[in-house]
Parts: sequence; C-alpha cells; structure tokens
Amino acid sequence: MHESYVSYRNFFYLKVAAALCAVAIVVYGLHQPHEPPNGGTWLGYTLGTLGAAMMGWLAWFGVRKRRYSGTQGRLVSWLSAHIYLGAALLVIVTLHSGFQLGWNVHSLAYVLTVLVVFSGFYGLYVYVAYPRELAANRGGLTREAMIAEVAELDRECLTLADEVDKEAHKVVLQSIEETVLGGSALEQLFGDPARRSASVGINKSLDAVRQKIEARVARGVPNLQSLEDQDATAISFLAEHMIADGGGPERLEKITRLFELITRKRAMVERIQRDIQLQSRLAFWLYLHVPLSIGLLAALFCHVFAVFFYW
Amino acid sequence: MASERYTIAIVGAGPGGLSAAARAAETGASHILLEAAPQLANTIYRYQKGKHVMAEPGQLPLRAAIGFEAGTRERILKTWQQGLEKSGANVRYRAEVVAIEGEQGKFRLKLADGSEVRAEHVVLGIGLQGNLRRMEVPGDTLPDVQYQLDDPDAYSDETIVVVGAGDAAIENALALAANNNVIILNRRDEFTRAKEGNLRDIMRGIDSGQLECMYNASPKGVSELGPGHPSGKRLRLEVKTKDGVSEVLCDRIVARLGALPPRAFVEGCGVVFPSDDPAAVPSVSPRYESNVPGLYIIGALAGYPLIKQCINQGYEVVEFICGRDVEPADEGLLRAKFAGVPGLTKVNLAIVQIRSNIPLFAGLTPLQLREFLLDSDIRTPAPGEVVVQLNDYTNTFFSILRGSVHIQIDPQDPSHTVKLGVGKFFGEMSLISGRRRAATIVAGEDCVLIETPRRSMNKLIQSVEAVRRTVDETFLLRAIRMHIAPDVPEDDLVEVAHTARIRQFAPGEALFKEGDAADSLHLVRSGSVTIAHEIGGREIVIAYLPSGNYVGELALLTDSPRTATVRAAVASETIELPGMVFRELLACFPDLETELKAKAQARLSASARMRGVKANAGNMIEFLVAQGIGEATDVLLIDESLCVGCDNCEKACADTHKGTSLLDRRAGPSFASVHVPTSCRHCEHPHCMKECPPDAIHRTPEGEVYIADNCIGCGNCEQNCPYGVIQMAVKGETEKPSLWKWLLFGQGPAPGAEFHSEDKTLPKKAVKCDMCKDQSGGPACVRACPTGAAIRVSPAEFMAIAR
Repeated sequence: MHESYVSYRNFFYLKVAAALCAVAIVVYGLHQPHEPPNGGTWLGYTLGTLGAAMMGWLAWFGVRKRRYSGTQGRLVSWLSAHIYLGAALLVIVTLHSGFQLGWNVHSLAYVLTVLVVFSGFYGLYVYVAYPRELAANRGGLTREAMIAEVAELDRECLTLADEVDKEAHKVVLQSIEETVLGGSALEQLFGDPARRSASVGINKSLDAVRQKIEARVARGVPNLQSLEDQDATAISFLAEHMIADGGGPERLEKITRLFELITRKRAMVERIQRDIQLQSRLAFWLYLHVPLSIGLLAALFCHVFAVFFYW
Repeated sequence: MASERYTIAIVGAGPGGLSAAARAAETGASHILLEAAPQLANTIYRYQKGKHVMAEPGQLPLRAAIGFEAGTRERILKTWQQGLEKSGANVRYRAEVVAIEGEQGKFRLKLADGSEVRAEHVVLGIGLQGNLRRMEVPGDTLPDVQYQLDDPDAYSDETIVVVGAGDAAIENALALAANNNVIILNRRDEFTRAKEGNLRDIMRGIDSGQLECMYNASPKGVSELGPGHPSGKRLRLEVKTKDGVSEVLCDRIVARLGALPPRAFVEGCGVVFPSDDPAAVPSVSPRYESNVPGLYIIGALAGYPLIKQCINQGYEVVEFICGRDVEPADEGLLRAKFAGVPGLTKVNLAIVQIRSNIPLFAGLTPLQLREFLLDSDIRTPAPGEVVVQLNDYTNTFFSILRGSVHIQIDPQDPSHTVKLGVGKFFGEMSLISGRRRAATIVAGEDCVLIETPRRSMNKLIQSVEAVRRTVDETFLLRAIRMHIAPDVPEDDLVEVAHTARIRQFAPGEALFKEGDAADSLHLVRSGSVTIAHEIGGREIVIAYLPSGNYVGELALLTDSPRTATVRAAVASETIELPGMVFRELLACFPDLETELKAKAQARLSASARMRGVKANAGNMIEFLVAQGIGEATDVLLIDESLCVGCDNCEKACADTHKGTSLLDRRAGPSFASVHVPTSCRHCEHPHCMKECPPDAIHRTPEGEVYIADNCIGCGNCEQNCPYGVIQMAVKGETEKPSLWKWLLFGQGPAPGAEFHSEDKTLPKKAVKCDMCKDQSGGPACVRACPTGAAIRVSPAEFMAIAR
C-alpha cells in the first residue's frame, strides 16, 4: 500500500536516468571530434547544458519541498526523480569533461558534483537503513515519553535509596545529576550509546549498589564481576545469601528493587541516546549535501562564466 | 382585601412571560406580570456563571418587544432586565400565585401573601423548573436534602450523596468532588442518559477514585442522625440495591432528578392533561389557549422548551388576546420554502398536503411539522436530474411529496430502475449506516421532494416513536433486499422483516462465538465487526467487515455450529434474522440458496487462506480495529520503515491550515511498522457531530468531515472526539510565511512553522483535519511526504495492508 520513493512508480525515474546515461554513453562512443573529447565540442556543450539544467532543477528541490501546499505532484515523486537523475549526473558530467581534469575552477565544479552526489548516496543509505531501526528502538514510545519515564524512574530510585541509607541516596542523586542526554554533535553522531558519558553516572551507581550487595554476601559466591549481565535468578540467589548474612529481608528487597530500577533506567537512557543518534544521523548528512550543493552552484556559475568570458 | 383588576395577568417572568409583559406594555394593554422569585427568569438565573445560552432554532426570526441573541447568561439577563424596565411593564416580584379561580373575563388569582389579582385573561408561563422532581421517599424534604445546586464551591469536606445519572447530576457530582467526598447513586448499571463528554468525565472520575458510584441503587428513605452521632454525619440514607438495603451516612444529599409539570396547580386551574404520564403537558390551541377559555399556556409548560420559541409565544399570545391576528413567526420562511412549488402558495395548505401525502409525517402535530420543515428544503428537481449520487457521502433524508423518483439498482445498467412514488421516503440507508449512498436516484416527472438534514431527521426519529418504527422497518426491508435477496419480491420479504430484530452491540461484544449453536444471520446495519478463529487458545482476528455485510449465513446453510467468533469492532447495530424464517425463505427461492452457498464457499476458502497466512496479518487487523479504525472512513497511516522523521506532514498541515498543524505524527501507537498518528479518521458516525450547538460540523459528498465557520467555540466536539484530533485554536487571518524572505534574509517564520494570530481578542474555535478538501491533489500531509511513508486509506483497503 505504501509506495517507497526508491521504487516509486515501479522504478520509473531509475529507468529514465538509466536511459539518459545509456544515450549519453552511446553518443559519446560514436562521437569523433577533431580534438580529444572535451566540453568544447558540440557534444560537450550539449552535455554541459543538460548537466547545468539538471543541477538547477535538482537544487530547486529545496524550494519545492518547502512549498507544502504545492500541488505540482506528490513530493515522493520529486524525491525519487531527484535521487535517480542526481545519480545520472555523475555520468553526464564525466562525459562532459571528456576525462580532462586539472587544477582549475572547471575541475572544482566537477569534484563538487561528485561530492554532492556521493553525499546524496550516503543520505539515501541513511534513509533506507535507519527508519526501521529508529522505530524498533522507540517501540511505540515518543522521545518525550521516554524522557518522562527516566524522570519517573529517577524519582522512584531516589525515594527508594532514601529508605536504604544516606550513602545510597548520595550515590543515586549523583547518578541523576550526571545523567546527560544528547551531548556534543560528535558524541551524538558517533558515540556508543551504551558507553556514553551519560551512562557513566548510572554505571557508577550500579557499581555502588553492587558493592553493597557484595559486601553482604557470604564467601564462596560465584564470580560477580558483571552483575548487570545476570538475570533475575542471580539476584534472587544473592538475596538468599543476604538473608543468611543477617541483612533484613525488607532492606534486601529494597536494594534488589533499586538495582532493578537503575538497570531499567540505564536501558531507557540508552534507548534515548540511540534515538538521538539515529535521528541526528538522519538529519546530519544534509549538513554535507546542502552546503556542498550551494558550493557547487557557485562553482558552476564560475565555470560557465569563465568558459564564455575567455571564449 | 382589596384586589386589582387587569386585562391580562401573566404568571411567571420567564422568557415567555416577560416577552408577553413587554408586548402588553408596548401596546398599552392593562397587565401585570407576577413572579414568585425575587428576580426575572429564575431558571436562567440559576444557570452556572458565564454559561453560553443558545438562540435556537437559528432560522426562526425573533418577534418580541425585548431583545434576545445567543450570549452569556449575564448578558442575556441584563438585556431582559433593561428591556423590561424600558418597556414600562408592570412587574411584581415575590408574588407566588397559589390558585387561579373563575372564568374568562373574571379570573381571580390568589397569591401566597393572601392578596388577590383579578384579570380577564390569564397567561401561564411558569415553565417546569419550579417543580423539581423529588425523591418521593420518607425524609425527602429534610433541610440537607436539596434538589438544586447553585454553587458547588460553597461546600467542602462533606460527604455528599448525589442522586441521579443525568447531565445535571454528573456535573454536580464532579464539581462537588473537588472538595468533598462524593457518592453518586445511579438507578441503572450505567450512565445512559448523559452527554458523551460528561460520560467520559464521570467514568474517569470513578476509575481514578475521585468519587464513588453505587450502581443499581435507588434511595429508600432519609432520616436525621441527630447532633451527637458518633460518625459526625448529619443524615442516614437507606439505599435499595440488588443485594438488599444498605445504609450510607452523609452530610448532604443533592438529588438531580429533572423537573415535572406542576400538575396539581395547573389541574387546579381547570386545565386537563392528555394522559397520566407525569411528563405529559397540557395541549393548547394554535392560539395557545387551553381547554379553559381565556387561560393561555406558553413555553415549556406547553411543550416548547426553547427560549426563542417562548419569547415569540409571549408576543403572539398578547396579540391574540387583544384580538389582533398574527401569523406564526416562521410563516414567511416557510412560505419562501414552498415558493417554487406550483399550487402550494399557502403554508397551511402545504402542511395539510404533507400530512395527507406522506404517511410518515401523519402523526406529527402541525407545530412539530412546521419546526421540521423549517430545517428542511423543498426541492423540485427536473425529470432525470440526479437527486442522490451513488457513493456520495451525503446523508440527508428525502420524502416524496409529489411525483416519483427512480432508483438505479444496477450501477452497470442505469436503465434498470425501481420506481418510488408519493409518500415514500429514501436516504435512510446512509442516515443510519453513515456510509456512502448505495444507489443513484434520479427524479421522475413533477417531482417535489422534502430534503431533511441528518440532525433534524435524527431528532425526529428519536422523539417520535412512530417515525422511528416506520424508518426502521423500511430500512430492514430494503437492507435485506439489497444485501441478501435482491431478486425476492418485496411482499415475500415483509414477513421476514417482521421477524427480524435490531440488535445493538458494544465495542468488543460478541454477536456469537465459535461453537455456538447457529440460529440466526446478522446483517451489519451500522458500525463494523471482526471475524476471529480460536487458534491455540487465542482468538485470532482473520477478517474485518464493515456495515452492509452479513455474517452467520454459513452455519444456517450447513446446519453446523458457528465456525468463527464475530465481535463488534465499534458500537454497532445489526439486523438479526431468525434461522427458521431464513430457511423457509431459502426453500421458496432455490436460486437464492445457490447464490448464498457460492458466496459462503468463497468466504470459507478466503478464511482458510487467511489461516495459512502468518499470524501477523490477523494481528494487524486486530491492531487497527483496536485503534478505532473500524469506524473510520479514511485514516492516515505512516509506514515507519519509510518515515525519516522530517515532519513535512505536520509542516504541510500547518502551512495549509493557517499555522495550526492538525495532526501529531509522533503520537499514537504502532504495530509491525504501521503507525497510526493522531489525526482525524472521518468516522462514519462522527462523534464530533453530536451536540454541536450551531450544527457546524458537516460531511462533504466525498466524505470529509469538516467544521464550518459558524463554530461558536464551545469545545463539545473536542471533548467528544475519542481520538483527540480536534483542537481549539484562534482562526485569525494571518499572512502565510514567505519562503524567500525566510530563505534569503532569515525573516519571519519558516514555511510550515506553527504560527498564530497576534490578535488576542479573537475567539478560539474548533479546528480539525478537513482532508484539504479545498485544494486540488488531496491531503497536504500525503502530498508533502518525501518518502511515501504517509498515506490515507479507507477501511476497504485495510485488508490489502494487512496481507
């Protein structure tokens, strides 16, 4: 029922773009100019004009997509065409250059074209790869709901820690204060959500709780190095030992519950970090694609101007 | 004791009474207005502060010596007070009339203070609110038992029992619960009489423990506890419940049981009531005169509860008494409606003809019919003109006053028609099912039709039992013919229709369950149903059927028990045909049996296919149905595997709707990467349309439900929408953000940004999705989606997604 921009109208624009490239390649192959192939032959001018027109039209996408009430077709068809015709530009522009590159403004335009198209490819990859992951990570929750849940868990943890002892309260409070969502652009884009600075506070408090449990557990208990990997059975196993150790069952229950809550909070914070990361990655590539496109338009202008000025 | 003499004595200074007094003063007739309360219009005076008072019916012109237009309670009371003072009317407050004696020309009105007023004519405009219904149990007049609540904030930290389950009781209970311990006593097991908004609020209040509710409970007696009682409470209320009598100790009882005509008083005046029904009102002549000559009754006591009607009647009754003949206020409007109909120059003539030609309306009083006609249009379509178009979403109701219409029963062959003649009606299918028109209907020769809007017709159906019965029976017969037995003659179906029952099902309620003995067939008349099989101990939904389809035929054809569980997806109504009658019908029409068997077979194999499909398909239907899509006609679905979160859909919505986005992309649940955002579903029977005072919510022939400009901003629709898709927003004329100004110079908001009018004095009005009906190319949210993630689909297309 949903028709993706990739396969829009049964790959109509892919077919158009492929046909365009095929025609360009065939004509280029048949073309026998007196000089080596370059932008100055009739074919060169034709391909150059076509390329420039396409660039103008592709850049117009930025305007079209903001004309929200625009009625010139659905935006999904524009995006589909934008992607495939943009990719075709690689062939058109390369043939236009006749493979003649140098250290000049003309080649700058060429290089920028390639960069723009490849940043677009990266964008396409991002658009195809991340939405599913984003939705799965959210599991039907909005980010606001996730943040609200963290706040609620914080509140519960604090109340519970208060009932355990002063030290627990301090540790939990510290973990709350040190919980940072988001972070710098680099962290957002490339940081590992599980190992992010934001989690440090939480891990610290988890450690503290674990130490509390360890301190009370009788000798001979199996290796407790990574309690967070243990499941509920492990916790109840510990619990039995703690009761044997003389800690009141109520207090034990509270510590176990605290441990559970903090583990849940950590999972939720990780989900939020992951959400922020995926969302930033979905938006980030445009910070490459758009400035490069504007640079390309400027270089294209210089290139055309230079060609006609020095003719 | 000396007594005064007047030509007209008006009893009760409500809208009718004060209008009569103002008119009498204006024309110089000798008169007196007697009011028991210390102020004018006591019923309206007791409304809560700032309440918006409507001036319905909107089209009816006001004919009065005092002003009246919709507005706040305060403004209306002030207008009346000033109007009455200006007119120089003779008013006496705190003058309760306890008896009226004598006859025309020499009535004697006895007042509570012992004085007497003599008058030639008496106008009774005492309304109903002076006679509140009591609990009618021992102790119901104790000081802390009250039947009204002026200011809920006057009480705190009390235990208060609220008796009643209507809107007044609910509103009081909720308001009191803020500062008190409230128990609401409901005679039934649910709140059936309440407005939907109130119903939701009270259920929420009860669920959250804000107040307590005793169901199936009615008061049995009240007694005082005495000052020293250990509980500290003042009253003991005995409550009758299903399990016997129990006791509630409380401080106060607020019983909101409605009002009754003050029958004893009125009968004491010699007026006769038509029946023993406590709610019955005395009948009056077209000049408002009761069976006692010279004694006139106007307003709610005569059966006209609307303020504007009362005011007009007050004016008219004075004219009649003074011997001046006046046409009813709506005469001009009605005359204009019939202007295009040859031979119907007089309204009275038209009304006589309607009553004699159209059996459906024969039982209405002339006044009921006038009100009904005021809302309707009289149409004289040319022969061959299309009156109703197949698949349109219109839902008006047509009655044939003259001539005939032709129903095209085969969409492929327009010449295949059925004729419908004088006195018949059509359009009830869409009215009841909320679905598209089932056939195209064209006008015949000399056709005169009465076209009535959905709301007026529903009002009539609800208030006049005979109309409801006739419409239902006709619907039944036509539905059976249309969906089950098109080739069976109507006469053979009459018996079947008589044995059929209309059944109502709550959402999730089972029509029947897998394994049940099969005894009937259900034709879904409104709403929709899901069909489920029990697989591994769980019900797995395998199909969804909207109204117009039938279920349960399989079991009747094969003599085996039910093969599936069928549940209502939303509140639904079905027509249940008993198996026996159905089988008799099949025996008489072997063709029908063959046809049904073929259909059943197709359905069986489809269902077997569905069983084979991965369980997800069924779960998807279940998920969508759980989102209320069973009553949707068009819903926005987002494919999460395509959505990049650019919010173009919301921006496009804001851009096309004056800066307010009417959809919330992020909110709403998801299942298997299909996300149902918060956005209007354009329900078959839109919840928002209920209780819209100015009737501002409509549906276009294409199906979009939209809010017209005459919205008064009351917020009823916002409350009534179960999907939270209606907002209240300022609808100012604001300039759209400019793309270039923003792009090149960074000025102004970006296109698609939410922005609102600066003018704070503008009122807030309800806004909702209108599917961009005024733009070409479909909804902007779908058009602006760059990845194809957002689509709008109709229920018929669900299965395609689900598979």
